[in-house]
Amino acid sequence: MDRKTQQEIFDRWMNCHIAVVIRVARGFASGADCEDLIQEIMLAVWKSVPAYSNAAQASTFIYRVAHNAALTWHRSQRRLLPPADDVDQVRDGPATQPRISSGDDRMELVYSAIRQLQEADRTLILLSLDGLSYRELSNITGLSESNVGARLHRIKKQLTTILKGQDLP
Amino acid sequence: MTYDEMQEIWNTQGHQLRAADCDKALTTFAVENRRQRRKQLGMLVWAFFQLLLLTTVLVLRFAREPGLMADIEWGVVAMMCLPWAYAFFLLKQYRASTLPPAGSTSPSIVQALENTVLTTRAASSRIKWLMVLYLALAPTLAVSMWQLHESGKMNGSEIASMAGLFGGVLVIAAGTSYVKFRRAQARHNHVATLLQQFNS
Repeated sequence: MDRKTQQEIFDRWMNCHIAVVIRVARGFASGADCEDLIQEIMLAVWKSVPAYSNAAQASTFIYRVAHNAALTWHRSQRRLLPPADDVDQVRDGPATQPRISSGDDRMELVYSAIRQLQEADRTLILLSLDGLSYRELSNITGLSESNVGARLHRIKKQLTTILKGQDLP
Repeated sequence: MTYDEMQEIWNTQGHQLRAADCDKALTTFAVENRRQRRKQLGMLVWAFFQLLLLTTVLVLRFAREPGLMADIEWGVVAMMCLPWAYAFFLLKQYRASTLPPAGSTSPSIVQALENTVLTTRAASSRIKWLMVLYLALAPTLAVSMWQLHESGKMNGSEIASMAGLFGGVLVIAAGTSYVKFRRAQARHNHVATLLQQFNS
């Protein structure tokens, strides 16, 4: 696959699924680490474009690549982001923009609770919250549907315990 | 907060991302990706330049002086071959870094993790062999220096400079490899733990 085609497919995917990338990153990291993880996931998706076959849905493929990148991401692997000036110059001049916003406080509480889970559990709950069925979760993770169901039941109970200790603003 | 409230928050706010955040992420990626590719290529060219320049200069020097090529010491020949082996190892590594990650070619996350466990184990092993290569280089270097000194082609001060330069490079390279080895082992352990989480 030539680089132009790869870029076109990547751009199309990111137009539709950039939110998936950001949600997965926020489920695994916060602050500057989150920004770094977003870049790692995007790099993984970009490199994965030639391996994509039309037999699978693009969204399922992106979920799998994104979660795999987030799972195997290690804080010590952090690459240095380019200076903010470089990015701002390319985008819209020298004005400094805020980093990825934490959004609503209640949403941040949700992400904070998710980040307290084991990595494998984070993947399952993030996919489940996005509305994927047990079958889709099973396809993406490689676990059986019954295993997915049992694990999600346990994870939801665990999340309820974590959330109980958190106050809504 | 209950789980149902959490799901409700997710449904109403989880999909609302600021356009500026998405734009920033995409632009940062475009800049970073281009920068990383240039850096990787630059490092590869620099590594080739550093590794092969000295051996090329030595070969050209020997080739230009009649008779010198015939009496070349075997230790020098062995020493000149090792940087070429290392240069091709670096080239192979660079080509591997451009391939799709395991997560894209495996049909599921669990299989991708199983593949990653194997590749991280292989990576640790490769780095271990690289350290062996450095260890092998040290006596080869010593033998070739001794042969050059004995044959009168290099005097004591030249040998000392050569030992300082090559010895320093060897120590730095071996130290870097050791750090890389520790990192590769940590990565392997991390992925193995993840796989255990999925399989438990």
